[in-house]
Amino acid sequence: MKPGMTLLSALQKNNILPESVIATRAGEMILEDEILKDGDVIKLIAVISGGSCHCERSKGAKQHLHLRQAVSPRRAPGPNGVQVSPHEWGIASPLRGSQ
Amino acid sequence: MKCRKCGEKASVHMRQHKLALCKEHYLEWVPEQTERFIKKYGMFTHEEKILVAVSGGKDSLSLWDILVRLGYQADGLYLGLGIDGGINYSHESQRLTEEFADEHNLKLHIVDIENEYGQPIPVLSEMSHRGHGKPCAVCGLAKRHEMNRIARDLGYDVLATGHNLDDEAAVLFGNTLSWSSEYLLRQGPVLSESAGLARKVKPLCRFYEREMTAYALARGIEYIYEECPFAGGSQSIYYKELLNQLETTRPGAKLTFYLRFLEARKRGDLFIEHNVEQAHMHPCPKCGQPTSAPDKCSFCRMIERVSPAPAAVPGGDDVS
Repeated sequence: MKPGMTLLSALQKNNILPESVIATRAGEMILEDEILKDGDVIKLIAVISGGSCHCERSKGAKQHLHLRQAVSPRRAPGPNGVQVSPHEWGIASPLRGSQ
Repeated sequence: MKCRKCGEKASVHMRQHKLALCKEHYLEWVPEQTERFIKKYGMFTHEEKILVAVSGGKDSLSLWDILVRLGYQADGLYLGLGIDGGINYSHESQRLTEEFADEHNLKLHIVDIENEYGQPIPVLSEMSHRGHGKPCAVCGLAKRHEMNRIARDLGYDVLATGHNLDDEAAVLFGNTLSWSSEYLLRQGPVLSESAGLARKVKPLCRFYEREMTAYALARGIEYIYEECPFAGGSQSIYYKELLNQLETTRPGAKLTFYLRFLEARKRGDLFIEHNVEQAHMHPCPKCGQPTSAPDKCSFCRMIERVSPAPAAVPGGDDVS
């Protein structure tokens, strides 16, 4: 990620649907028009949950995995880059994790 | 982006409402809206006792938090499902639920499925051979049964669940794809009580899942972030993702989808063959084909519009 780009651009570049995540920086929620700065660490919190019924392995499962994979890889910051870090997919409080 | 109410920096942007709010005003807005929906759909009153089904997730804990903030008599019910999945899923969700109840000095009922019925959900599922190798069908069945049983046994007036708009839209989408008319006719924010069945309500049914996540974060609610280990590949999550793709390009699409459905259901328009067009059909006075337009049919009017005006008949005025 390059400094100066908006959060929306960063999400789009990573094929992440803005509707499916909330982004935080230093524990505070930020919006799509936020300009990302050098050294920023952005945490993405997935908002989709559920799936307690009608479960089956389907074409959808692949897409679901694909979307999560788009979020999951931890991206190392490049020179002067912005680090977009996913929230750990473990049992953790998003608040605790982002503070 | 600025908060519409105070002009400070906004923390939440709801594109479907064209509304951005700062954290402080968002935390006021959510309970206000919840109260509005409770009244609009006649869910319950301040005099009634509410049992909130809490799972340790963001939606149910937020719902409990909101109802208490609004001054309702709301107790919690946690069902111990006995799901481990290598991540202590049930234990962690119970711990977070108990912590929330303790911190807010709230009454929490805990029912453990294994204690009640001898086996945890995954084993009950295996033994009963239901659900094609996944325990979700048995889990849903057990939860519905137990929530209703506890609500009735303990004398609660109403059972509240944390279903949000994305949950409802995903169910609606699935039932529409399969034209499951019976399910479609039953879906709504309130399921009235009937013989043996407690009233069930969904006070968060008009909030996007994203909004509920934002509420939980802004309120500092610690919820179980990990998904149920059996949820992977579920159809409802897939539908939610599809609907979010639609929402990204058409803000408000999910809300409209759900609200228009509720309106149609309320009017009794679902699955009733009105044949309104046929009733208003009449022959076009020019071509004779049936039309619902007030006078000539659309085709004849279009042709008239594109046709050159008829040349005046020389001396026509004099013809008599």
